[in-house]
Amino acid sequence: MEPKYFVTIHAADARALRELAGFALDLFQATASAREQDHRIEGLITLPDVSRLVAAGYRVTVEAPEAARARAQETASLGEWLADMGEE
Amino acid sequence: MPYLSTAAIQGAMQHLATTYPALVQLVPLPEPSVEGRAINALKLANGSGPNRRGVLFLGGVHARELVNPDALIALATRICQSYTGNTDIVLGGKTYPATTVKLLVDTMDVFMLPLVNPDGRTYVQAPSGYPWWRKNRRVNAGSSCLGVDLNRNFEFLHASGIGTSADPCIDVFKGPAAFSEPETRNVRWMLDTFTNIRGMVDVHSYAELVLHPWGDDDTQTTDPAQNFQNPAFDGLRGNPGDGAYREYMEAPDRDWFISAGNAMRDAIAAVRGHSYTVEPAVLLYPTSGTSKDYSYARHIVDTGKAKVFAYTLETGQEFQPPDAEAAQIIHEVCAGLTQFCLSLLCLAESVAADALTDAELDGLRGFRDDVLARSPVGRRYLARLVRHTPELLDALAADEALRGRFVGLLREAGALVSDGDRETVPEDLTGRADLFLRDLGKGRGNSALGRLLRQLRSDLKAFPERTIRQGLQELERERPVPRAEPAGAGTPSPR
Repeated sequence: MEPKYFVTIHAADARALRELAGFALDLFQATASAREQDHRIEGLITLPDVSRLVAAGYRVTVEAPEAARARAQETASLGEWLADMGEE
Repeated sequence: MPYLSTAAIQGAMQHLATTYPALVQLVPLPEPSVEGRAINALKLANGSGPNRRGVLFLGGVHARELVNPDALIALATRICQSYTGNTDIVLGGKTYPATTVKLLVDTMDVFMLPLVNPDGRTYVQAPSGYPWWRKNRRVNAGSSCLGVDLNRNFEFLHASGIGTSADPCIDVFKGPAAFSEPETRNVRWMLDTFTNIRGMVDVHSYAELVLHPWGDDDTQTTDPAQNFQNPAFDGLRGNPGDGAYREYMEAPDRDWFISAGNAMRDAIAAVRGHSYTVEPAVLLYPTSGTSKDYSYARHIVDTGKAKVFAYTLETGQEFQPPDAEAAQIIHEVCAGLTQFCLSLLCLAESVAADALTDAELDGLRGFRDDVLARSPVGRRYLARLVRHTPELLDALAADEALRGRFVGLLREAGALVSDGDRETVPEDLTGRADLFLRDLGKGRGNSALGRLLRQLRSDLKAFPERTIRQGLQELERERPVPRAEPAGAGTPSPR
């Protein structure tokens, strides 16, 4: 599987931001924001996706490789959790 | 603390039901997940009765958003510990006194469905899984791609395709039909079964947002014809800002959403200073098929159903924050959701339910919804009451004499409004109300509540020998409420 990166995508305006939906990418809709002239959204995409977006006129900031933010393997047992909550 | 596994979440729910049997009930949901896992909800309550309001919290709809189910389990645990141990809930800089928690548990049914999508979480946490999986684990007919985005699978403009995809390989795949998934049908079952539910928060990550309806397009309060059920506008929705279509919402509802949303925001900010943004869900990216819009729209589709004020809370700044940050977010979620419960509480019902008859309570509810909520001045006061309900409840819970005076005033006010607001307000009643507000405000100085109580005392001068409606009109003449003050208005939740 192609490695992915957490990115921020900058669009020229709100319309361009919404048109990102046509790229069929994993974009985090709740992060869409507009501050002054900066319309942006965060997402998790591959480097070829970055190239596609740049070619289409978007500016992309690569924030972090996916592994840097993956903590799904850090799990607690029920016993550990109960102790931490003062339940046992 | 690392994240709970799917099995540990189930275990924690069972633990709470076993350890606190008087407070916690395990609610088995009717359908297992697509991979056959049993799904449970929790009901936290002490007591029963027809006047109790319910609230529903959802977590774990999106698999990769790991902190939120843990937050709901933590909230349930803290409530139980507070209630049984008579201890305050301390969440960083935000504290909920034990008296407030007791009142909440004694007067409300708190339903939690901490892990809507157990298959997704199991896959995310599996060594061979994918940490960024969002959907459930549905095997899609005719496709090699798995999963349906559960928060695009609810019955709200599902066919429109707004903000969704019909391609199973896309993360926002909406599924072949609304409620095609057992996990979303379980949520619908909760709303259908527990008809006292009046508020819902679906906890997601991330972006530090408190989102309220609508999600499909901009909101307006003037043209009821522009609504999601009107086929004349099919094809025009989903383009916020273009003015071609804006989703209708009654003004008092919009105001309530903003007021209660602001109260959540403030409670969250008190934990450690992070200020969540309260806004309509659409803003820049329209959506359809979400739990929030579906839950709120139910009473519009079927007027026999209760109105549910529904939100999406987007917690934190990443999907899987490190331990220390996750702990802070859990505090924020606990604060925001506790505050939301308090916003849903009715001050009169909570303090005076045992002292007033059902007819008296009905009269007061009618006055609130039919008179106060329809007056700009009344809405402004109701919004402020929503904001200060916890403080007021604490003050009244701690002082029996003050509580008795409050109940007495409510009873007299109820009698005045029970006959269609035709009776004028006697001067001695406003005098006693003034003394009550003075005593309630003692020690509150220039705090927001102190200022509100002083304002109320000043406004009482408009009421002697007028009906309450006339008094409100007089206040409106004296001090018109600016039209652009949606955040300052609101109504308590509906009957």
